[in-house]
Amino acid sequence: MRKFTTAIILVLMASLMVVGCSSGQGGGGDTIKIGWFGPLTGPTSTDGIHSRDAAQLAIDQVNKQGGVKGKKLELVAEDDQGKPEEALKAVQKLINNDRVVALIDGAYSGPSKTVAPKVQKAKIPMVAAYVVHPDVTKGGDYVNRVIYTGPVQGKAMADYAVNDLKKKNIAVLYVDIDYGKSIYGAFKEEVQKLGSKIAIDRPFNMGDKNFSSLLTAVKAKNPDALYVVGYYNEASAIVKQAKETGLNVQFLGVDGFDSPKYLELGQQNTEGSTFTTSFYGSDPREVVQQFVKEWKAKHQSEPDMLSSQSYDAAKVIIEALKKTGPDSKALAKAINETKDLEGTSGKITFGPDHEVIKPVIFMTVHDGKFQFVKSKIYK
Amino acid sequence: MLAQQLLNGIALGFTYILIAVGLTMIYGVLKLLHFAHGVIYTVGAFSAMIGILYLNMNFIVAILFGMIIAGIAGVLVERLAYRPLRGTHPITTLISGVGIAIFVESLFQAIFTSDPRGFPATGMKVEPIHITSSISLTNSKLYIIIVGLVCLLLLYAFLKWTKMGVAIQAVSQDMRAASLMGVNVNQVVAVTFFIGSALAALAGAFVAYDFNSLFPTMGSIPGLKAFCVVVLGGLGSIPGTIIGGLILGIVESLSEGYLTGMVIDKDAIAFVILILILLLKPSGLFGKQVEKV
Repeated sequence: MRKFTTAIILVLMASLMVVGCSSGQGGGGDTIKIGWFGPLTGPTSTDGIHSRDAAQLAIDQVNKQGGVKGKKLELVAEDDQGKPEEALKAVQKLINNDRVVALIDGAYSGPSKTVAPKVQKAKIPMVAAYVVHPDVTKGGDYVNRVIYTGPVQGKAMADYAVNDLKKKNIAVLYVDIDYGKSIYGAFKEEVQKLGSKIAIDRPFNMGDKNFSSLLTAVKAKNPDALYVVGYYNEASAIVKQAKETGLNVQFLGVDGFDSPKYLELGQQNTEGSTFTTSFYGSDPREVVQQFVKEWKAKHQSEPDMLSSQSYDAAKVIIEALKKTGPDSKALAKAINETKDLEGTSGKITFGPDHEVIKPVIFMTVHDGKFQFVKSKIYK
Repeated sequence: MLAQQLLNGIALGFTYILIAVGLTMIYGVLKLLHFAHGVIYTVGAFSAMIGILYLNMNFIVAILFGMIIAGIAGVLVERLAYRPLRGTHPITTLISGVGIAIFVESLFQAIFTSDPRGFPATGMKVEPIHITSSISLTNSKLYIIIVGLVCLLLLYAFLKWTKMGVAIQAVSQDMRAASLMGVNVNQVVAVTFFIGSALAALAGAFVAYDFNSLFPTMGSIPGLKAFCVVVLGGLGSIPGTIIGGLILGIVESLSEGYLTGMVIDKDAIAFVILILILLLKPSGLFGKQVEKV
C-alpha cells in the first residue's frame, strides 16, 4: 500500500511538472496558438480524433507556406471526453494557460452548449465545426458555426422527398435527442406545407439495436418512404432490419449516415438510401481534392464529413488571422465577415445570425459507395 | 401485426433466457449475484468474431469456439474474483464482479476501440423467412429460438441424468451438506460457471450476427436485463427464468410496437418490472420462499 501511495505521489508530481512547463510557454513567442477541444477518449472518440487531425492538417498546410505574417501556427488540443464539465475545464485551460487566440469547437452538442457562453464572455473567437444544436451560436458575436443547423437539413430533405421523389406518405424514425428532434421538426413542417403526409413518427434511442418492433409498426402504415434521422450505428441497423421485415421503400437520411461505418454495418441493405450532408470526397474542386490527397497520405483513409467540417473551421480562423492578426475583437469581426471562402464543404459565408450559408449536398449509396446526387442552397 | 410483434418478442426473449440461465444457475450454487456476466456475453461475441476473422473458422465452429473461450473466461472470473472472497459478505463479491466487468469492458475498448464493428461475413446471410404473407422472421432469429430450445433441453438432461448435474443440484440445495457428502464443490462451481458462460456467449455471438454489430459495451444492458429476468422468475429457478425471459421479451416488443410517447424508456421496462416484482412477490414467480440471508 505504501509503495502504491508513493507511486501515485510520483505520478502526480510528474504531471504537475508537465503542466507547469506547458503553462510557462503561454502567450507571446513566435507562434500563434489556436485551441481545439473535443472527445479524444470515450465512445465518440473516433469523431474527435478525426476532427483534431483535420484541424491539424489545415494548420500544417499554412505553416508549410510560411505561416501567418511570419508567425507559425500551433494547434493545442484538449480532450473533453464527450462531457460538458470536462469541456469547460479544457476551454478554461486553453484560454488561461495556453492563451490561445481562437478556438475550434470539435465537440458535440452537450459540451458545446456549456462552453459557448463562457467563450463569449472571455471574448475569444470560436468556430464550431460539426455541432448542430441551435443554441450554440445564440450567445453573441464571438461564436460562429461552419455546419448548418438541423432544421436546414430537414427542410432540404422534405423538398427533395416531395418535389423530386414525389413521395406522398412518409414514415419517420428519429433519434430522441436534440439532433433528431430539431431536424424532424423542420422536415414535418415542410412536408405538410408541400402537401404530403407523415404516415407515422416514432423516436428511438442512441444505442438501440433491435428495431423489429418499431419497423413492424411502420410497415403496418404502408409508407412510400422511410426518413431516418439518426447516426450510422442505428441507421445501419434500421436499414438492415427493415429489409428483413420486408419493408422495401425508399430510405432517406441525414448527415449522421455519412460514415464508411454505415456501409460496413448496413452491408448491401444500404443500396439506394439517400441522405443530406455537407461534404463529398469526389467533389472535383481543387480545395477538396488537395484535402483528400493530403488526408489519405497522412492517415491512409478517406476523410469523412466531420473531418471536412473541422478542416473548414480551422480554415475560417486562419483566413481571418491572415486579414487581421491575433487581436480578438478584430479577429471575431473578420470571422463574421467571411464571405465565399472556398472550404471543403462548399463556399462558406456567414449570415448575420453567425450561421453558415452553403449548399446542402444530397448523396446516395450506389454499388456499395457514396455517390453525389445534387446540391442546393437552402436558407 | 400482433402475431408479428409476439414473434419478435419471443425471439428477443430467448436471448434474455440464454444469458439469464447462467446467472440463475450461478446464484443457485454460490448465492452470488454475478455482475460480470454481461461482459462474458461480449467475450463470446468477440471470440466468435476472432475465430472467423483470424482463425478461418466457419460459423458453427466459431460459435463453439466463442462458447469455449467465454466458458474459460467465466471459470477464470470465478477463480480470480470470487473464490478468494468466498465466505465474506455478499456485497464484497458483488463489487468484485462489478470491478471485473469494468476492467474487461475497458480492456476491450483499448484493444478493439469503442466503435461498433460488423460481424465478419460467414456465407450465412441473414434473410427473412415468410411464415404467412404478413408474418416473417429472420433466419438468424429462428436459429436463436431453435438453438435456445436445444440448449435448454440439453441442460435439463444434464442436470437430471448426469452425476455432475446431480452434484450441481446438490450444491445449490446446500453447499456444506454436499461437500460433507464428498461432492467436490470447487469443481461443481467451475462447471456451473463454464456452462452458464458458454450459454451467454452463444447469445452474444448470435445477437452480434443477427444485428451485424459488436462493440465492447454490448453486454452491459443485456446483462442487467438478465438480472431482472432472474429476479422476475425467482432466483435460482431455471423454469422461472425461461418464463421470465419470454415475458420480458414480449412486453418490450409489444410496448414498443403499440405505445407511443411512453413516459419511461423502453430499456427501463425491465427495471420497472424488477421493482414491481420486488414489491409484490420478492421471491419471484417461481422462487422458493426467501430463506435467511
